[in-house]
Amino acid sequence: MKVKVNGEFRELPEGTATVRALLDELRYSFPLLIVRVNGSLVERGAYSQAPLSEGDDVDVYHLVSGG
Amino acid sequence: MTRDEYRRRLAGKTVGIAGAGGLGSNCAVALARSGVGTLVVADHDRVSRDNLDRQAYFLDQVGMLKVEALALNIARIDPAVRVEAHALRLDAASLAALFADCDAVVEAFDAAEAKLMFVEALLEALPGRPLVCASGIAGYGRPESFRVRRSGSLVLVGDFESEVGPETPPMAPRVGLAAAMEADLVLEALLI
Repeated sequence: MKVKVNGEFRELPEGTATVRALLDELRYSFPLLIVRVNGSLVERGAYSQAPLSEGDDVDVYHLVSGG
Repeated sequence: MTRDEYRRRLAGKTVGIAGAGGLGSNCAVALARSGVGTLVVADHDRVSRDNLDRQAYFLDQVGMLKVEALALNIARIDPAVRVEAHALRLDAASLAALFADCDAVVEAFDAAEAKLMFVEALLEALPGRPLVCASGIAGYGRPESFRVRRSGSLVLVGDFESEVGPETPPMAPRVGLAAAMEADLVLEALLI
């Protein structure tokens, strides 16, 4: 399955059907993330329910403390 | 555009800044020097001695509310810049209310949790409004690791991994770099 992640097309295994599965596959390990799918923010805690489809445009960013 | 044309356009703009610590105070000074007409700044904290290692305050301001000290410092740079100072701890509701009329809003919090609150609250409340955030600014060196990520109206700067901790304190150069990049991205959004 082809999905755009941070502007680049990535080939993901079939069955990567949710945002949670994508994050695990791409090894996003930081606890706090901004995740947008086709421009819509996915609430934290909803990653396992958020569906992913062929061609989706996903943005994922780590948030770490410091300011 | 000439310098005067830039300044005339920026004088009519309002920028919100959530937090007046290392990112917020330095970003505010850069925007004030650029001629942005109104800055809406919110922070509940007071200036401490340790803050002086990276924040835009002075020794004789230790103990003052950061937003009050910042308003004074900006008035000394350019009294034509209006600073709306709010001494309060921001939450999702006050973020949306306070920055509703801003042309762009800067995230200048310390905690990652607060950064996410900013993004969640303002993407929802102010869809399409330019939002500029920072993530990953701790320590020193590796300036080439700083990147800009754009996701619609949301823009982020930083290296996205250097978290502040006991061995990686926030230090003036990298914090200042991130603050200046945030201010630069605000100008970009305002001058389109």
